[in-house]
Amino acid sequence: MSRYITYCLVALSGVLLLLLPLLVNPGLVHLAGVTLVMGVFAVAWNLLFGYAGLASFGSGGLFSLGAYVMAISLRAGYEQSFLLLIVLAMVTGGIVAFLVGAVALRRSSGIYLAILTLAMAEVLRQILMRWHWIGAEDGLPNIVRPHFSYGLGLIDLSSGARYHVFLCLACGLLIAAIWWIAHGRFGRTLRAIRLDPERAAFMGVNTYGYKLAAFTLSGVFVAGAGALYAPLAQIVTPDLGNMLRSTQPILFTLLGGASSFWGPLIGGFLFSAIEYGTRTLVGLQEIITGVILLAVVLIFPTGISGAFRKLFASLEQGEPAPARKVEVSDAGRLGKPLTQRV
Amino acid sequence: MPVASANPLRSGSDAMSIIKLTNLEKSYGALKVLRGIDAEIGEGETFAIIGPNGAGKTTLFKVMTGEVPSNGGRVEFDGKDVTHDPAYRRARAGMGRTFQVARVFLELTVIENVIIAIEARRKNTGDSDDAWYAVVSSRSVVDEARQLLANLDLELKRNTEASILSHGDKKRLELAITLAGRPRILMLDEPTAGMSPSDRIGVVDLIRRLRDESRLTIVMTEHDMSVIFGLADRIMVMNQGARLAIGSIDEIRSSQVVRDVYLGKESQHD
Ligand SMILES: Nc1ncnc2c1ncn2[C@@H]1O[C@H](COP(=O)(O)OP(=O)(O)OP(=O)(O)O)[C@@H](O)[C@H]1O
Ligand SMILES: [Mg+2]
Repeated sequence: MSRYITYCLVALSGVLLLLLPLLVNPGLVHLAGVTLVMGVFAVAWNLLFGYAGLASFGSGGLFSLGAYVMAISLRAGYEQSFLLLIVLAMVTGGIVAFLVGAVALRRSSGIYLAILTLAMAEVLRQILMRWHWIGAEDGLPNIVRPHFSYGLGLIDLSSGARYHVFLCLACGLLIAAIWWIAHGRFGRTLRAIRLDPERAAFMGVNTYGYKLAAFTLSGVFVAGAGALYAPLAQIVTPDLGNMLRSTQPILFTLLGGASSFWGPLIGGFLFSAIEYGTRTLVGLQEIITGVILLAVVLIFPTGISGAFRKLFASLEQGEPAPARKVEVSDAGRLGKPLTQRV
Repeated sequence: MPVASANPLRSGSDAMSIIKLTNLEKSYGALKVLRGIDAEIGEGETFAIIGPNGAGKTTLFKVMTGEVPSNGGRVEFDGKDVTHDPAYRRARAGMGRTFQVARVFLELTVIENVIIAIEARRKNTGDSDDAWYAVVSSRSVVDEARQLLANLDLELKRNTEASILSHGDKKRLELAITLAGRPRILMLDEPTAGMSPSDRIGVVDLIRRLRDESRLTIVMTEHDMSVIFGLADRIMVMNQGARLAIGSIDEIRSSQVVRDVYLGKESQHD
């Protein structure tokens, strides 16, 4: 029942997002686009956290990697192959994530993995900052939004509204792909590994292999989000991969709920809405955002999506959610998130 | 191919052995937990490991299954040296185990627990009939899971979250997960510990059925002597990490050493 409500809400939000250029001013459309890209980023990050139980604090590095691959290629004039460039960025992200994961996952998990990934992202950022060919600290400005012929005819994404429509469709595809990965046998096995890696190993599951695969796939989609971001922002800088960027999907996930596939996306839009609502309160903005985040995490340890789930459950049964949902809260600590529902 | 209970293979060390332990050693720091354990377990045999608390029974299980590395000695499974194989390889080769304190996937439902185990086995053996794009588990996987749960009296609870199961149900669910892997050897660490008497009888019946009908080799530890004497073909007695005795039930019963160190103490408790 709540599953169908979820699907309806997702479809409705998708249509609303798609039509946004007709409804609000370009500034807000741009903000929604950025939020959507960051939302995909967060959903991809949560494939690692919510399903495999691995917390990466360096995903910003993979995001900037995807953005740079796209930016460099577009500036080199490969506009015509725009769709292929997205794939190229994703493959690059996957390869780098695979290499990092192959080293990092061998021995480390928990806090060690977090620090290791953070360090790797910082190394990448330092390289980007010092590499003059790609603009060093200033990054790459003036990225054109592509404009290419493809089969049927010319596709022109140069205006903000057109790119927004493309962005919605592309993000929809990426999210659908992650959804499919998370809900199939692979995702089920990841959840088992998160809950009890030893038990999973005694079922013949190569837990290292699965974690590495999850790490790689997450990297593929994070880089994909980065690739879509470059033409949206029209500038990429090394700061795309800084610590702040890496913590963004984590905050989205905390706010929206790691136990739900859609949690990070919901959290992302909520986060943007709070930021937008408080944009005039210079200096207070961070405090308000922080307080709200704290309140949500303390009051609803399963995030907003968890709170809604409880609400649905209580509406269906005409009574508060069953007590066993409560014990879930103590699993909300890092690396051991919560029940996994749609 | 059900094998009658008078299994000719179940006659001890002269039969073809499926497990061979040679001089197994394990230490935690300065603490020597296993001191040169030697044992051979025949195919189809029910082999019990007994000994007082802290004797090293669970540690022996861990070393045999690859949960922890040994500090010396060899583990052979089915004629192959698996001493350095990780746990998942040994599991794929046919070792299944349960834990002393049942370990199941608590946040998942009963049937999800079993489905994951079935899907893992099918993937490893390459006989999965799932479409590559499938999200929902295939009919045949679900049917197999329900059949297995029915055999273990868990079918009615299939949609219950595992975290709210009773202790006995958790133990049975863990057994279901393990059996879903269709192991050749089943290693049970205190399968009836903490169970109610009626649950205990059920589990003993089940183990007997597995032994007699499915030709399974069973290695178990257990503190309840009535369970051991009712099931085991051979017994190994451990004390402080060393093998004290090994032999048939009668041999163990009549052994003076064992009586002094273990059985005597046990009866004082009662
Ligand atoms: N991870 C560990 N680190 C240090 N010592 C350990 C560890 N695991 C077990 N031990 C010690 O090894 C010894 C054997 O423990 P083990 O659990 O194998 O005994 P057991 O025969 O299974 O006992 P029980 O009947 O209580 O289950 C004990 O003294 C125990 O304290
Ligand atoms: Mg033990």
